[in-house]
Amino acid sequence: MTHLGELAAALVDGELGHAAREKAQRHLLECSPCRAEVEAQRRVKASLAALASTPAPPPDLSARLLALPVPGTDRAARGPLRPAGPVTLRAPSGPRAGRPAGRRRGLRRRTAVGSAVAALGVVAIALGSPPRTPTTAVDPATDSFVVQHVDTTSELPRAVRAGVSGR
Amino acid sequence: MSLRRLLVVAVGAGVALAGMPALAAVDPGREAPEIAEAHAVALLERAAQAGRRLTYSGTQYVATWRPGTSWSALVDLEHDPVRGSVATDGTSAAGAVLDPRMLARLADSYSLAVSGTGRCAGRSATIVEARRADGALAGRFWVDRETGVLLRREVYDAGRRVRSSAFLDLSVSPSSPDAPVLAMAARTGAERPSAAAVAHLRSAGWHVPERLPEGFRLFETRRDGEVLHLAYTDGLSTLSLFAQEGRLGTATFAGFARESVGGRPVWIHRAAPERVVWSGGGVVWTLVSDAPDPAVQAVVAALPRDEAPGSGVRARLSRGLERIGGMLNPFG
Repeated sequence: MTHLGELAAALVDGELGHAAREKAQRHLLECSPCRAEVEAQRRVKASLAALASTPAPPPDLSARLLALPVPGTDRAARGPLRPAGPVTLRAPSGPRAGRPAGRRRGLRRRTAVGSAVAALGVVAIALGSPPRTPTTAVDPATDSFVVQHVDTTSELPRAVRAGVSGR
Repeated sequence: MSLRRLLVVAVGAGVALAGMPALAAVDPGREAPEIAEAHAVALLERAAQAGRRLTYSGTQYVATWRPGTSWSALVDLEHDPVRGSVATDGTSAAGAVLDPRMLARLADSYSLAVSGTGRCAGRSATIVEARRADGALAGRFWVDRETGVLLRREVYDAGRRVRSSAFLDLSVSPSSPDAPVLAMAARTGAERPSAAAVAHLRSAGWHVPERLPEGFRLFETRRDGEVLHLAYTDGLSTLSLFAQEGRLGTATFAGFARESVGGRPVWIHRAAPERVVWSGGGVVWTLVSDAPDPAVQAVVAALPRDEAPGSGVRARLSRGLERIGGMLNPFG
């Protein structure tokens, strides 16, 4: 078996069928990089689950994330994004708006919300790898399948099925 | 049990008991359609049993026509009820006979009638025609009047011949004393796979359709290691599906062309038999069939097929958000 790859996330999410899970676990016994990968995925899932106790993200979050520049462009080039810590997604509230100190605090809050949104975007991009496909690459033995097909079903003499079509 | 099946069984049993020389003298066109159909089915039953009763040898011409390709061969073969058909180069053979399991499907999917008489390999034959519900010709069978051996068979699609096999010469030996036992074996072969076997495969996560488009019905399941083999027939053609858990590697297949069926990518090799490879639902599928090309495509379109996954940042972002949403949702 090659490395688990995307299967690691599926394993953590409990999305694997019985046979695949068994294979993945057998692989984990022998492969420390994959064990580390599964551990990392577990941590990501746990910290995201911790976020779940905060209010639900605003409905336009997806649209705002899509409007963000992509990492690798100038925003990301300013340096690695620091983990935003426990974040509450609240819009700046009214009473303090207008006062100088409040303006500063509002600005800070907006920055915090902005970087939380950016962090979420980065996490989303990291998680949004193409849909999980089984890692076992299969190379179907079509010639042997033709023989089995003929043996099971066809009424043609066996010598015939070996023939290749002529143009 | 349908009226047709009753007739098949009743007439089949009568034929088996009576030794059936009288049936060859059917006068087509003078009977009610059900009776004509019963005569036709009885003739084909006789052809199916001839393969289990008789010893014969001869030269057969076999040909297949596909879009853009055709193929043919001459085969010297010997047939006996125990070994089946053996090509003279010594390889064993599935047999130049009518498979009883296919005959059961044939009678269900097509309307059958005796259409006349003809000659093949210097012998006198009764011709049975199979027609689709719309009346289009789907197949023709030449049944030897004297022995019941299937002398010639042709399969048609949209008015064109797509497959043909015919004896150029044939010599039949006297029937074997084991004939009734072997005929019985032929009948048990007509059983469909047990519902329990299919249910077992399904509970293990396999996609096992009982019916496929174009009248194909499951008649055999086999497991060989990691490969599941499902065999289907519509009575005239056969179709095998091989399923393997996994995904298709990036390698290309020699002789296969990359094509699209219903907007999804597949690999097709139009040979005799036709082969199609694709992946869908965590399974790599290989289809092998001697059915006409349009029927093969209809079957592929009815099975799970993966689309080429999008890989842009936008696609990744929305998939990732979906996953996060799934993690946050306590009911997800």
